[in-house]
Amino acid sequence: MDCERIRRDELIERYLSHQLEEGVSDEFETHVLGCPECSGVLEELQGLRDGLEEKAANIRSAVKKPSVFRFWRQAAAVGFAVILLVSFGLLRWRKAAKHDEDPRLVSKSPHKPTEKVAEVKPPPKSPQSGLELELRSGENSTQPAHAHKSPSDASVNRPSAQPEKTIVAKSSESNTGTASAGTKASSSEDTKPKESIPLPSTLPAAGEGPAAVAKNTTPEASTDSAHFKLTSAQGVELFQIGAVEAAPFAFSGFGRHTKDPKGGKTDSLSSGTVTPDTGRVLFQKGMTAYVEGRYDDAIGFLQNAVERDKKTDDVNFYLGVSQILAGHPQEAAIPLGKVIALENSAYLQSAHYYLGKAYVQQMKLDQAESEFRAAAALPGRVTADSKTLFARIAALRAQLEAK
Amino acid sequence: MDEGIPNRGMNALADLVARIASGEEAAEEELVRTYGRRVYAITTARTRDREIARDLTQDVLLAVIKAARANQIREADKLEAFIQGTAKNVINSYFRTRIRRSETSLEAVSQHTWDSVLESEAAERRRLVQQELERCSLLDQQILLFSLVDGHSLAEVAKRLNLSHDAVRARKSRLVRKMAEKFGRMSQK
Repeated sequence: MDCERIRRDELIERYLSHQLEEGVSDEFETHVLGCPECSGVLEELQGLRDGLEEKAANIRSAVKKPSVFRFWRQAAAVGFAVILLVSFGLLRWRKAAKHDEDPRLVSKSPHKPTEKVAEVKPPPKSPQSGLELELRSGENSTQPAHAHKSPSDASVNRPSAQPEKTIVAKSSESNTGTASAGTKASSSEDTKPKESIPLPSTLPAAGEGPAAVAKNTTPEASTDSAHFKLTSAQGVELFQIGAVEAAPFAFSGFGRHTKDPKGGKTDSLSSGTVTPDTGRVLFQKGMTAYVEGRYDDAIGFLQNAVERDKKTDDVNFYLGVSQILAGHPQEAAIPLGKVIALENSAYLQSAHYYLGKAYVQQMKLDQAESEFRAAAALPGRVTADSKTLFARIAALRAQLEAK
Repeated sequence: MDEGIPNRGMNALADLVARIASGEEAAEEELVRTYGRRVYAITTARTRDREIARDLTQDVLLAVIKAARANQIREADKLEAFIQGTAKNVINSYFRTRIRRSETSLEAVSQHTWDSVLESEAAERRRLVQQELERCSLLDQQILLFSLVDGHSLAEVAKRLNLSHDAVRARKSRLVRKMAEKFGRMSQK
């Protein structure tokens, strides 16, 4: 390894993001130990990374602003279209009324005025959403319940603040159900919550160890249900906590794995290729789909990859994340639980973090809190975010339990 | 940057190991001075926790010095590979146990342990880097964030920001160079 390759292949950046293959990482470290120039750059970038992590929330929120403007632009356009339709309808109605008043015109024209109702259909719900919020009062939200972000998107959409409403939220009945077994929430005009059913007390307590958490991620243990009322603000808060951003992924170090011409069978999902489908090849295909935002395809490839190579934490991790992004948060528990059960995985923190998100989407708030707490206690990319989410979800639970 | 043995040849590394084996204290100090920061950079990158990284760096240096003293480094000319292997083992062991190492076995080598002055200097440098970041444009901050924190390649960053790959590369290089020029001197004192 030389300095030129390190610069050209952005190895320092990849190393800092834990994206280098183990062999490459070892080579890189050995080089850094003997190279004052590269070790200096590594330190600089580490310092920058630390600074950026602290400012990350601010930078990201600044990036999101344009999407808020876009939302209002779209809302204004829709409003304008509605006004035009209504005006046009009124005009036609008045014209027709004039026809009726004028007997000469009535005899000539068979046209009768028809009542025009301007109807605005609510936007389609995100098929990826595990938690859906439905406003019954007739107000239309132009944002999907949970907007997911593909790795190539710049921001995560978040809902704008709504006037106080009551939202009834309930968790899916069973975790082993189909993809549509998400949570459904609805709101009414009534601003006073009528009744609240407390959160289930059978869910595991926050702060359980990794083994217990892994145990709880099995489908049998996740069949609890919660049914309680949320105010609109609480619904929005829950929605924001559950919003999922695709975990970053960069293709590096695939070369050595994809070269293997000996083993593997050709997989049905990979028709048209001549490369044998070893676990890593399937993983690469899955990640290609993942990066392109085709999460259902990614799940297919990654599930096949897991069958061939059961102990790979990266495959299980991205499979779990893909399940969430594809709108099957209840399916994410098993692969993410496997990563957590390994305990020394590089994806350990992220697995806790995303499992927490999956639980939020299933309204399993105490389990979510437990996962965020575990993620916050570990060093890594999402430590600060996990701490924030842990605090927010704890506050939300406290509010709900106080009712 | 580091004093001591930048880009030293293989013979010089073997010589350093031999001097430690013969009980020369100055050689141990030289090893700590040369590799301390670099090992710290590695442990920090792997653990993402500077507190833990500091302890682990100490453990790595101790293990290397002990091995050198006991003449257990077989290929002395590959000292850096030995340090890397030791660092990896220590870090993996930490992740397995997640128990902070005790410092009970420091013995006589404790005087050469990780320099707290260098550590506080690194903290000051981080503060200055953050200050400098505040002055960068939002676009530059985004480039650095997506690249260094989110782990996207420059090509991906360029796509996300609707910029050309060259533009992103040039901006990032300029920023890193600027930071290095501004704060790099500090570490070379």
